[in-house]
Amino acid sequence: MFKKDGSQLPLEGRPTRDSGSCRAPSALTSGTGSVETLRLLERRRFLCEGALYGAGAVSILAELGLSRYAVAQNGPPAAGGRPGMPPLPPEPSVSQPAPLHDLKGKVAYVTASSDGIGLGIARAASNAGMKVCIGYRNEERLKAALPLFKPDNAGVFPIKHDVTDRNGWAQVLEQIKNKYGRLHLVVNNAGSKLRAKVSNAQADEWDNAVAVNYTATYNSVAVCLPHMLEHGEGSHIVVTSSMSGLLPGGNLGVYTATKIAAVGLIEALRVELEGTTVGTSAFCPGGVNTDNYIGTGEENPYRAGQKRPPGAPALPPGPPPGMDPLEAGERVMNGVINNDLFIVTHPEYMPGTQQRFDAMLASEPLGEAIPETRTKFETRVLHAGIYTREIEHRKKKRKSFRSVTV
Amino acid sequence: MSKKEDTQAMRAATELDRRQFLGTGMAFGLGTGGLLASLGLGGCATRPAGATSASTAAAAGSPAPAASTAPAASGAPGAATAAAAPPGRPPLPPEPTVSQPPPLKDLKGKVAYVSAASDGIGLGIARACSNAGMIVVIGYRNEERLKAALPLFKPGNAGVMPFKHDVTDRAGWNQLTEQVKGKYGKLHLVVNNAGVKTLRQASQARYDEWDNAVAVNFTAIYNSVAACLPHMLEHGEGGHFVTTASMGGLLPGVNAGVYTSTKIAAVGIMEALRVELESTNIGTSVFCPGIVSTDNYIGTGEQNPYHPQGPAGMPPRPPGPAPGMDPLEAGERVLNGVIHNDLFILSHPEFKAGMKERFDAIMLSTPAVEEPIPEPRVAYERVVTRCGIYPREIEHRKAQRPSYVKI
Repeated sequence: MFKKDGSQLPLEGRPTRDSGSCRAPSALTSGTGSVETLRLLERRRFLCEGALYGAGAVSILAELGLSRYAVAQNGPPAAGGRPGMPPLPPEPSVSQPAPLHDLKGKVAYVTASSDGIGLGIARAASNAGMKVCIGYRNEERLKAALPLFKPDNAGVFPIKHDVTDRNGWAQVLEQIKNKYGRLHLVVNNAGSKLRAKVSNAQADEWDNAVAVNYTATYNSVAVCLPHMLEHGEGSHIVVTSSMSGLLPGGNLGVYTATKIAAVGLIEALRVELEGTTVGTSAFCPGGVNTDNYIGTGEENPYRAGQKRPPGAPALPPGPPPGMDPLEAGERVMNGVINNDLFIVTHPEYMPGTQQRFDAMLASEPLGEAIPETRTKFETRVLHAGIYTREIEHRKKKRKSFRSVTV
Repeated sequence: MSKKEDTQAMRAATELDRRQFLGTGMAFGLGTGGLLASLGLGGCATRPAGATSASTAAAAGSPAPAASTAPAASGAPGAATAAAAPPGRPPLPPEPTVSQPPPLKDLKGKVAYVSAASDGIGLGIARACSNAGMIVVIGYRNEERLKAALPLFKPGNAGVMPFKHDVTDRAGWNQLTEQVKGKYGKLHLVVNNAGVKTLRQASQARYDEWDNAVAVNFTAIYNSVAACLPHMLEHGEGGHFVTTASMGGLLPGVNAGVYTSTKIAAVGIMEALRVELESTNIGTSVFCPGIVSTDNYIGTGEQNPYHPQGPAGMPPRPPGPAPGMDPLEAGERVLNGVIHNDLFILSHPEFKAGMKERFDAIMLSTPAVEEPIPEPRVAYERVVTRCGIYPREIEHRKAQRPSYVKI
C-alpha cells in the first residue's frame, strides 16, 4: 500500500500510536493491491453475520483502528466528547418513534396538490380520514381535482399558494389554524419539473428551480415548525423529491441537483428534529402516472409553446406505464405513519443507486495512516446516528405498503 | 397483514441484500448485474459496469427483454443482452466504457481561479496550484487576509493575481472571466471554494442566513459554470471545475442543517455536471474533506457575521499542534484529484464507516420485492434507472495508484 508520498508502506514498522497515528489496519497492509483490499473490506463487512448493517460500522471502525469511537457512537451513552468539549449527550438507541402514527382527524397541507403526485397524496390523506388543505395555483386544475375526493371523506380546503412566497406560507398557516385549529402534516410536494442542464440553464430557470425544489421546504419549516412544536401533537414534514434525488440518472442537472438538495435537507432536519415530536421523510418516487410523466399536460412557463418537456419519451401504447398517483400517495402515508426517513417506492432504481454509493466509497483513500488527534477532534461528526437507527428501524418486519384508506 | 406475507417480504428483502453483496466478483460495479438479475431485470444490466464489450453496440439493439420477477431470469449479470430504448424512443446513444479522461492532466502554465483563496482551504489549494506551476487568480473579499496570504506564495512560482470577488455576484463572475482572458488569455481551472460556515440548524435559521448559505454554497457553483464554461469550451485546451464541499456533503454528521444540506446540494450539482460534461473536455470534481486546520476549524480566526462570538458548537482549539489536515496538503490532494479527474476527492478515510451507514439506510428503504415490478414501467424508465458515470468511476478507482502524491 502507499504512503502519502507514494512509496510503499512496509508490512512491519507501520505508524504506531506513539508517532501520533492510528495503527494502520492489517487488511490494508497485507493486501496485494488497493482493489483487493477494497474487496476484502467489503466482503468482510457483509459476510460476517453480525457485521450486517449497523454493526458493520463498528467492525469497519475497528479495522481502521478506531474501535474506541465505535463504542462511543453505537453504544449507550457516549464516553466523552472531544478534548475541550463537554461529554457527548447520550444518543438514542432506536429511531424516532413515529409522531404521526394515527392520521384520523389530523390536518394535512399538501402543496401543489391539484394534480399529479400531490393530488394522489392529498387523496390518500383524505381517504385516511385526514382533513386536507390543497395547495394550488391553477383554478382549472383545482376544479378538475375536487370531484376526485369522495364526498364522505373528511374536509377538503383549497388554498392558493406559491411555495416560494414566504409571506404566503405565513398566511396559509393562519388560514389553516383558523379553520382547523392545528396543522400536523406538511407535504412539500410542489416541484419545478424543468428539464434543463446546469451547464446551459438560464439564471432565472436555475433560481426558480432552487426556490421551488429546495428552499420552499426550508420556508415550510421556518413557518410551520414553531406551530407544530407548540401544539405538541405529533407532526410530520415530508418532501416529494424524486429518484433523481438519490440517483441523477437523467441528463437534467437542474432537476437532479435540486432534488438531491431536497433529500439532504430532510436528512439534516431528521438530525435536528429527532428529539422532538416532528417526524421527517423524503419521498423518492420513480415513474408515477402524472401529466408530467406521461406527457399530456402542463405547459412549462420557461419553455413556451412546448406541451411536453423536451426529452420526455413518447407515450407508450397501452395503459400508462408508471405507478398510480393514488398508490404513490398511500405509500407516502405509509412512510408517515412509520416515520420512514426515506420513502422509496421503485426498487428498479436501487442497483444504480448502489453504484453511486459504491463510487463514493471507493473514492476514500486507502492505506493511509489516520492521525489520532484528528479523529478525536472529529468524533462528533464521524457518524450520524440517524442512519444507524434508521437501519434498525428498517429491519423490522412489515409490509412495505398497505392501503391506509379507512 | 398475514404472517405469511410478512415472512415473504422479509425473505425477499434479505435475498436482495444477500445477492447484492455475496461473491467477491460482485463487489462494486459487477454486483449490480447480479442485483438487477435478482430483481428480474437482467436485461437492464447490459450497458454494464464499465466492464466489458456490450455497452456500445448493444445500446441500439433489439427490443427489451421481458422483465420478470423470477430470480435471475433474463440474461446473465452484466452480460451482452441488448438494452433497448424505451418504447417510442430513438435508440440510446453509445455509452462510454471508461470514465472521462482527465482534461487537465498537465497543470504547468495553466490558469486557475480559486474563490475565497486568501485563507483556509482555498489558500491551500491556491498555493498548491502555484507550486504546481499554475498561474493562480486568488478570489478574496478581505484585504487584510489577502495581505497576510500573499507572502506564502513563493516568489519563484508562477504568477499570482488577486481578484476581489463575491461569488454570489453574477456580474462579478463575468468580469472575472474577462479579466483573466485579458491578462492570461485563458482560464482552465475553476475551484468553487467559497463557503458559508454558518453552523446553524435548518430548523432555526433565519431567512437571510438560509438564503446566503444557499447562494454561496450551492448557487455560486451554477454561477461559475454559467460564466466560465462557454469560455473553457471555446478555447478547447481542457478545463476543470472543482467544488469544495465537505464530508458534511456525504455524511451530515454535524447538527447544522444549513451547512450540511447545502453541502449535500453542492455534491449533487457536481455529479449532475459530470453527467452533462462527461463527453466534453471539461472535468468535474467535488472535494469532500474532513477536518482541515483552517481558522474556521481550529477556532482562531474569522468572525462569523451571524455569530460574532465564533461558530456555534465548535470546540476551543485543543492544546498542541492543530489537529486537522494541513491546508496545503488538502490543496495538493485537490490537484491530485484534478489531474486524475476524480469525481469525488476524499481525503479523510475515517468517515468511511459513517458514510456506509448512510448509504445502507437508503438502500434498506427499498421496498421488498413482494409483487412484480411492472414490466412496462421498467422498460419506460430504463434510461434513468442507472447512471453510467458511477460504474465508470468505480472502474476508474480500481486503477492502482497512490491516493496522493505531492505535486
